[in-house]
Amino acid sequence: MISESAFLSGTYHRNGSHHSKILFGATLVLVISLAVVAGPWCSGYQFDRQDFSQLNQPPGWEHWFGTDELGRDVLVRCLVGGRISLQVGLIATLVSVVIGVLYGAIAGYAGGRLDALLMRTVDVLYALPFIFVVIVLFSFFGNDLWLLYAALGAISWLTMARIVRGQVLSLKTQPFVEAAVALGASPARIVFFHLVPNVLGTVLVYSTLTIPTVMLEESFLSFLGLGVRPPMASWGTLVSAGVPALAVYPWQVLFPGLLMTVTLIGLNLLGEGLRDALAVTEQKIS
Amino acid sequence: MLRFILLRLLTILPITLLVVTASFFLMRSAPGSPFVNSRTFSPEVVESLNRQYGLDKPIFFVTLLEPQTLEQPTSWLTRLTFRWNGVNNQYWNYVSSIARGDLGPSTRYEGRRVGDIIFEHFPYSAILGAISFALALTVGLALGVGAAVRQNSGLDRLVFLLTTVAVSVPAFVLGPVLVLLFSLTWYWLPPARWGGVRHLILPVLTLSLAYTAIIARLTRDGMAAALQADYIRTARAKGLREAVIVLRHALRNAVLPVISFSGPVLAFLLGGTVVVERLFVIPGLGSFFIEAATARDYTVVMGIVIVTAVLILVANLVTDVVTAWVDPRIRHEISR
Repeated sequence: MISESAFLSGTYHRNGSHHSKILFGATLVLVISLAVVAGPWCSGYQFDRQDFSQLNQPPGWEHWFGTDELGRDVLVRCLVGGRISLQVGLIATLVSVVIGVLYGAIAGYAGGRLDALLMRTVDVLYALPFIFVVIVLFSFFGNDLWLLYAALGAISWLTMARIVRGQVLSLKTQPFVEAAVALGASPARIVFFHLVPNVLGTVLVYSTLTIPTVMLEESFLSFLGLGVRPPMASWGTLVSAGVPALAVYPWQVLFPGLLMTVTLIGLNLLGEGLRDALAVTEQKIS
Repeated sequence: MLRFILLRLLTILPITLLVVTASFFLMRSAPGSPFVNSRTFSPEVVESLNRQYGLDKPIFFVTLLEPQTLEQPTSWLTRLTFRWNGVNNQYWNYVSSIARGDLGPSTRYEGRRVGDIIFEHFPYSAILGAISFALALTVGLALGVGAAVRQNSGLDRLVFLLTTVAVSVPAFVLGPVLVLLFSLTWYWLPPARWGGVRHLILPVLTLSLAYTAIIARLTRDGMAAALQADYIRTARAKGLREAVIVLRHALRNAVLPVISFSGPVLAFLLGGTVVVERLFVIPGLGSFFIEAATARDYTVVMGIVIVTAVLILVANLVTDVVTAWVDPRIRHEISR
């Protein structure tokens, strides 16, 4: 939504600090990913198994994160929810990368009227509220998990397209492109084999920072009851389900919220560290 | 400069029209309609309601007819046939009513005009958004400048740590946690609803925290880069006071990324944020939007979409103007 390109414009990097950022961020992300993937198998509980003798239990030895209003284990629900949240982050980002890179590269390389047309379209899409587009997409295709991924990806590519276009604009005047033209390479070949590989660094950095944005959007939709449907869970639905009983059973909100926050910290640090390491600065992007 | 502003203002109109068109067809193509979803109405009533609101008219000037099957194989293009519906169609009626300044009647809230609904509920969103934005901007700038001036100091590290966490806490987690602490444990502040200043504190904090962090980060990075520039060394050599060097010479360059970030954020915050409004039960535009969209209240949805779009477009223009005002190089570029 809004925060996406915020971290990209940093121009100054602390000497050497990007190593610790990458290391710390990557460790956080790895640990949580492992927990989320392996955890549900190791836990003795199932995420949708209701136990009416254990309703709203506080955290303890039996249930480390307590139980919810249907007696389900909050820990295992958080882990399974994390799977969904991370999956959404990865797949939607991938969708946005594919669309954004193609769109931006074509606009940048074509230039002229096509470029103007494509980029004005992006301007118009920017002015549409994203939640509106998502609601319409959902009512169109039903509320499928895969559609959620695609929809989030389909609305997150705008900034990526702008970034790639900007890079391609400056790259296409470089001698190696001229050389390729002189050798008789087709426009498609130049775009995909010469220009796109050169923007991949920026794309990598930007996609790392898109993952947390998309995850936030997913949780935000799920929080509003538009995303993942029960009995499936994501961090957003877990928090949203816990909010009404916040005063009495705070753990139902705090644990999924904490997990999500830690994951986002890891991803943000990783992205920032990569940005600093690859020295992707604003000049290169805008 | 004036010419630039006027030209840009002129482009807002066609872009808004495009946004209206795009969202009109997106909305109409979604399954369901305002009255069908409610089971309480009999088909005859639905029909008469549709007639009353003009929803029985054709959607657009032309309707695409079913492709006819022909004996000879022809290209699909020649098989497309259209029916001309004339100007009495929903799209044209809607666009011309907007042009007259009328956003139409709401189908969900009987007897209410969309213009009135927006007029009544936009101020809540705008007040909340404006205060949050002002807070984020001032605190963010102060923290950023402080951290950049004392680089690698305790303050710098603290700002880095705080901003990293603040950016990563989703609003719908932060809001409940704040309510849990300040309202339900310590009983200091009201947990929800619109009231006096005290009611605003928690929603404003929830809304502004992430933006404060991003602005602080942008300012810090911009300042740190600016402070290393040659013109700062010149300013120091001239013997200027440190405060003048930092606040007049360096900050001017450092705030450029902050400005380009802040413009769209301001538009977004003014237009109403769904999560915070819902969490704190604030009757702003954001809380209306989801309800209207699920109820297929076409006119209300479209009205809010238009408000949002105009806000974004105006914010972009204001951003460019402020950038030009701060940076003479850009001003020069624009004036040419």
